[in-house]
Amino acid sequence: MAPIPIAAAILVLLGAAAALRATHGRLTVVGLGVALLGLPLAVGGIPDPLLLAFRTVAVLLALLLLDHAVRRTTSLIGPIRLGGTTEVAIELAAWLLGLLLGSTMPDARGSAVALATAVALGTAGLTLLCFGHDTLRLGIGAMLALAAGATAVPAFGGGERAALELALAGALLAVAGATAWLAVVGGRVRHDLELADRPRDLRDAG
Amino acid sequence: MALLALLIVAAAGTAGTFLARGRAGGAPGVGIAALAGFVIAAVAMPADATLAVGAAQLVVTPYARLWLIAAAVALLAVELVSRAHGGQRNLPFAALGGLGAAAVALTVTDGAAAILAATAAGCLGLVATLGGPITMPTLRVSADGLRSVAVAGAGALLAVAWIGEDAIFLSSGAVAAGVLVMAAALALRLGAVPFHVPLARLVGTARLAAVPLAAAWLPAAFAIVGLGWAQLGPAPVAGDLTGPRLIVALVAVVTIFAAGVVAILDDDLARVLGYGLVADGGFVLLALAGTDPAVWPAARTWLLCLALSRTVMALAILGLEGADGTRRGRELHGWLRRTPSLGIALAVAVLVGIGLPGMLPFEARRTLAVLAVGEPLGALVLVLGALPLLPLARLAWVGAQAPGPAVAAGRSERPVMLPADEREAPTAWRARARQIVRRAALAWQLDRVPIASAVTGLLALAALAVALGVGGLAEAAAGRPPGAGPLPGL
Repeated sequence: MAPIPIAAAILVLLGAAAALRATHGRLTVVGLGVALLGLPLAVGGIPDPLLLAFRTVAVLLALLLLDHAVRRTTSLIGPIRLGGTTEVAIELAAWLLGLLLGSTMPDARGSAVALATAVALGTAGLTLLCFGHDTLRLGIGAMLALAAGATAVPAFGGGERAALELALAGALLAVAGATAWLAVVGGRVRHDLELADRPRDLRDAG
Repeated sequence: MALLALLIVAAAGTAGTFLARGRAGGAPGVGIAALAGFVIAAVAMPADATLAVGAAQLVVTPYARLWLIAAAVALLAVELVSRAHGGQRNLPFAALGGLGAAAVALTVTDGAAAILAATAAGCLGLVATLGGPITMPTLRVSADGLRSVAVAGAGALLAVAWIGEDAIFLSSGAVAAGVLVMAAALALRLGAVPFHVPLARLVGTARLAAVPLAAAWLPAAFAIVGLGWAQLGPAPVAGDLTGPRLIVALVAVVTIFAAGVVAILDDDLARVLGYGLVADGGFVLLALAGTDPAVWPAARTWLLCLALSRTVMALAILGLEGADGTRRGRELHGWLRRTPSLGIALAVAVLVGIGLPGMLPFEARRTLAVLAVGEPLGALVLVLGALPLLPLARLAWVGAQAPGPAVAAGRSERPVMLPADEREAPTAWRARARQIVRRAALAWQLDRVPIASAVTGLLALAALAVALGVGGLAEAAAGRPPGAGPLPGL
């Protein structure tokens, strides 16, 4: 296995784990940034430098939008529904499962590391979308899920890379814009990023 | 270059409307001018325009052009009517951003990129639901909308990645899994059962002016892209997929039936509209249950008709609410006598949304139903699909009676006569021009209800023309689907 994709995949996993585990809004945004900026290298094969630059600028703009929204409301967010550690464990398990699937599939069309990273990132995104109860985690989950979907296309050996990279950059910006809008407008209603009346923690359910 | 001009108009309009949002009186003019500019750019764009951005290619088709023109005209009408009834602050921004992203989604030659662009359009469209006074329920429905858009987009991308460019090299089980994932993504985005709750809540809670964009046009763009992929990818091997086709057909029929029944029971016209949208989504899903290639043009025809029909219906309900202060059917006694043109618009919305034999929407729905579930059951599905007619018939019956308290206290469509001194025409041209502007401003102040009804009526006539085949919808829908790869030699 090539070292660069492996190192990049580890970076992506750490970023996604920070986005899942952190209870400080700006740290969550930093985690998202690490995951999204490391992702092109984890897919394998260095993309066109111009496309990479375009995508990097779009990701940085998206992060700026989210950071602006966090600063305008509150930097503190409650823990994710299962506490954070459970979600990180689910993400790691998804990565290992993806690696196993990618290595053993008889008709494998792409790199196993890329597939595993896409599966882990998609799991992290869906976890945030399902268990997140604040605007920031919802938007970050949406961005991770879309980035994972866009990573899965070249990981399976399909798609036109240039069009995909441009469209992903646009989609990430659109999601970040909508999330920032939701966060700022929501901040005027209840001065934080929370969406639930009373955040539920399933650990206390028993 | 024409497509580039269209995208520049959308981008400039989005930026302009965003910057003008905070200025009192500035935003409506900017929004209306930008939407009108988009309409002009879409009409001026040739049906075979192309654009290359590096290695990415965008190819306009007659259907994409017709869809963009229809969407832009409809959203311009929504903006005008919404301004007449108090305004929806974020609508022009969301509409122009959503239209720009939808233009990319419908023209880009790569399927995965098209799905990402359609998802981006959906996110931008949700901003429209955040205008006006914000409460926690409004915020929650917008957040749920973002959740649905993202999950549907990620699911559709997963299906595209899984099946790849040629399904004939995959096992039938692998293709079935991809088709089911795409069906789930479409069901989620269109609000089909069991994913209907976010859409129903959005229509019931958000401002009505945001509904056509967020719940009809942009989900339709997503569905066009998803069905385009299904036509090109798994369709050649779809004959072997009996199990997945049965599941999708069952979900679609349950959606059509359940939404129709709930629409009958509800008295809130916005919720009737919402459940009508849910039922419409069921007909779109039927396309994935059919094996005959005729389902694809029928689905594209239906997607344009449903968006037009629901826009006209939303505008008519907005007009009723603006004129009479309520949108509950039982409080609207006599509305038809006071606002007859809204009644005509609602009747046209039914014609475009359900249709009569020979009309494009009726034939599209019949094709989708019959090719998905066979001949006797298809007719039953068509009848179930007409269930939302019943609450509208009840509304017409109530409207024909003597005006009740709400309607008697409301505004009629009769224009207010201008004061006598305003009628004297001065001879000097400058004074005359000033008088025309003053009269127009005065008419806008005094006659908002008649103006809104007139705009709704004009959009209804345009929608009827499209449903009757004017503009070549049938031929356009039968053409090249989005995501069909680059043109040879481009």
